[in-house]
Amino acid sequence: MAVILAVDDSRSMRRMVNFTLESAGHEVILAEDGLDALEKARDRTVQLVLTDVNMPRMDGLSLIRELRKLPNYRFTPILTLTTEAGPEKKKEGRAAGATGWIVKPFDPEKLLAVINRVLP
Amino acid sequence: MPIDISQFIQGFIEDSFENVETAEQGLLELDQGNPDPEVLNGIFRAVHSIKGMSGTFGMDDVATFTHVAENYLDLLRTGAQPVRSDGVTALLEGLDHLRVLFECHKAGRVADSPAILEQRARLLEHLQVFIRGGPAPAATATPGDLEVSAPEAEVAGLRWLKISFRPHAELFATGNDPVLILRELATLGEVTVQPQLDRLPPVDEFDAEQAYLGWEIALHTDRSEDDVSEVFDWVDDLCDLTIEAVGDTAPALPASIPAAINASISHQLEAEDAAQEITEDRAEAPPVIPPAVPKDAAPTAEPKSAPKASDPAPDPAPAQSSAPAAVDEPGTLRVSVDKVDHIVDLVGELIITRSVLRQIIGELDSHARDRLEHALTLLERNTRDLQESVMSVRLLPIGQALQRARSAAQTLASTLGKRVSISLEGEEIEVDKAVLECLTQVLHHLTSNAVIHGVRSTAQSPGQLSFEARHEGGEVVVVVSDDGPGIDYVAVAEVAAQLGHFSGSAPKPSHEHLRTLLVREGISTVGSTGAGLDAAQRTARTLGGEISIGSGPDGVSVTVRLPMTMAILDAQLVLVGEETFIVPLTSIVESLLIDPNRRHQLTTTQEVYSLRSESLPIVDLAAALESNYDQHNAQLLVVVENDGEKVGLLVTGLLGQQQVVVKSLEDNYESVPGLSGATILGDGSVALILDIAGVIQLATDAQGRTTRAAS
Repeated sequence: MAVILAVDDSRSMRRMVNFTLESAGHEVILAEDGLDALEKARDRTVQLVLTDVNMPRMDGLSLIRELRKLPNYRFTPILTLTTEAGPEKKKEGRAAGATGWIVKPFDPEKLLAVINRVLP
Repeated sequence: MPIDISQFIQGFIEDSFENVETAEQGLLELDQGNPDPEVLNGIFRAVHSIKGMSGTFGMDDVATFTHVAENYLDLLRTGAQPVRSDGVTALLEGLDHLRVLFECHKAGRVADSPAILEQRARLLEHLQVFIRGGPAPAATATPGDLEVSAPEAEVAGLRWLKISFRPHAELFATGNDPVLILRELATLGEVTVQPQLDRLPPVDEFDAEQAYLGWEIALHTDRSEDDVSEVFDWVDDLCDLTIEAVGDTAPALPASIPAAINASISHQLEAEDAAQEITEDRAEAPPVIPPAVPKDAAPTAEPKSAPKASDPAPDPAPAQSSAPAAVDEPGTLRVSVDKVDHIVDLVGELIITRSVLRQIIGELDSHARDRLEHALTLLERNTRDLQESVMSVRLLPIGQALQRARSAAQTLASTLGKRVSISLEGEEIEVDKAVLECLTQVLHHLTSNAVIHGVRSTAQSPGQLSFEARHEGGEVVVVVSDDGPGIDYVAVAEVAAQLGHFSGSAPKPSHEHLRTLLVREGISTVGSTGAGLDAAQRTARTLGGEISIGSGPDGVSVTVRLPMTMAILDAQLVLVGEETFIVPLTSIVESLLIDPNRRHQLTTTQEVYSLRSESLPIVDLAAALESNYDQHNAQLLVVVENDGEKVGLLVTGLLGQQQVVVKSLEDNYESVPGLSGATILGDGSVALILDIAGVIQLATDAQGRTTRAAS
């Protein structure tokens, strides 16, 4: 039972993630882009952040960089939702401070399995 | 329980129609000669969104198509491909195609009519041409090749894998946690781990944010090596990882206990043995000294250790309540205060027993008595030496109390906008731990007082404050002096008068009286601060110490006197009436038989004694201690010195001198003015130990009462 921030500019994606995580008993905070997410992350400390990469106003990697500057997010697991998992994407994510990634599209079971990997 | 997302399909289809609209709008508005990057981004994102969710809902036709469209749009928005009208046209046609696909999905139909399939193939080919028509970055996926999930696990059969996992120090900073990785590994089969401690620094060099541990792991699984390495996917650039299949027998895993930890453990074991020998040599009912428990070998910086424990690394043992002895550097031991205090108590008991023996000797016949006396003298010397050695264990240099006072003074001064320069002297003087603690508190009050009242700084020069410590007899003396203007006696007198400290209508209190009031009553000219001189006095008194204050045009100096050590006192036993009291030997100047001619009545209530050129106030101990005993025939005077002043104590009789063990009154009863403790004599009776300063105070008070009663 964790508080999870899910960031994606696609409304359907947000709804799906919200539903999946809440079914598993987690509390979900949704954001539609990096700026929105940053604000919400400041209001309430979450245990896990899932973020899309391509978003308006502030993209996922910038969001991760900004989050890592906040003292209570230095060691928080942050996963990118990415369509490709190639080596440069990995490097970019790592450079920004991401913990790992989930490849899109993913099914809900996979999402929950991955989440269990990062939540104690 | 599978999660049913079909309820969201319609929502997704609606959103997708919107996204198609957005993309189309953007393409139509696009100034192809000078394309706005924002618009291109928007188009890209709209298509990207559609692609993202389509696979989840099983719409593969949409997914594969939008994947290609998205690739092209990515090239356009990054400028890798120029915007060209035929390219835009192809995209617009692609969007129409998507609409068709979504209409089919919405109606629940499969979009497989020949017309649709032909349109799809044609458009895909066009888009591929545009994609390749120019410098293209290495695409990480070709159309139709979507990574949806991990490759199928090859069934490999149950076998052992040996895994070496050594996280780099910065692994935590990415939000990864080795424990969770090991936990996931355990879901693949039976796991045994051996933590590797070779990168562990000494405890005081730990950085809690760095990863120091590594693991050698044996995994019994039928999953493929790919499946196993997938567990480490996120951290493969943050660790050293090897995975090898080792066949059907479990691999042996090396233990690793670094040399430093090993050495400290052997030292500990040696210290334990030494302590054990001492306890075995003790005669009867030795106190139970619990054997030292080895410290945890597992570090506390890594909060979780490996899950499956079949490792020979020492298990963390529960810590005992008295801290175990630890080795700091060669030749030193860190020992708990409780143990030392216990030994001090034992030495005290030893001294009492010695007194009992003395008592018994008095009842023996001469021959045996002489020999016993001799032996007892030897014993006295032994116990004195023992006592000194033990007490010295508790001795600490006074420096830290002085330094703390100095920095408190600096802080307070700057808060008040004053500048002060502070000097320390006598930092190396050693005092008992309890005395140090008391002194620290006393200095706290005195420092505030000095900074508030005694420090005046001008633009040119800061105020001066000095802390000087020295030994005097069996006492430690600390003097706090400032170079301020001295006590404002007028102001103090006013405040004191208002508070009703003077009787009579035209009081003219002496400076001495005012100083006494300052120290005793905590009168303050700047309002009550709750701290101050009276608090310092009370604190000092708890240990049998004393505060006094001196003032002049050069400033004020406050003197703290505290006994250096606590438990053993050289005592002069005196008889007051029928009670035995103890006067600390160090405060006695001399004792004499009263010559009545030298005894004068100064006032109706105050007598003095002329001793050589001095005039000593006589304190009737019986009266001061509120005993009913009438001492006016008493002929013995014990001259004591207190803070530079000499006073004669009137006593009924002088008994012997001996060492006594000071037992605290506060601990066993309550604090009593005039007394600094109690002791048990050789005959088992209790004698009270006088606090000379307190006694003098009591006498003064008693006089004051008598004077006021008489006036």
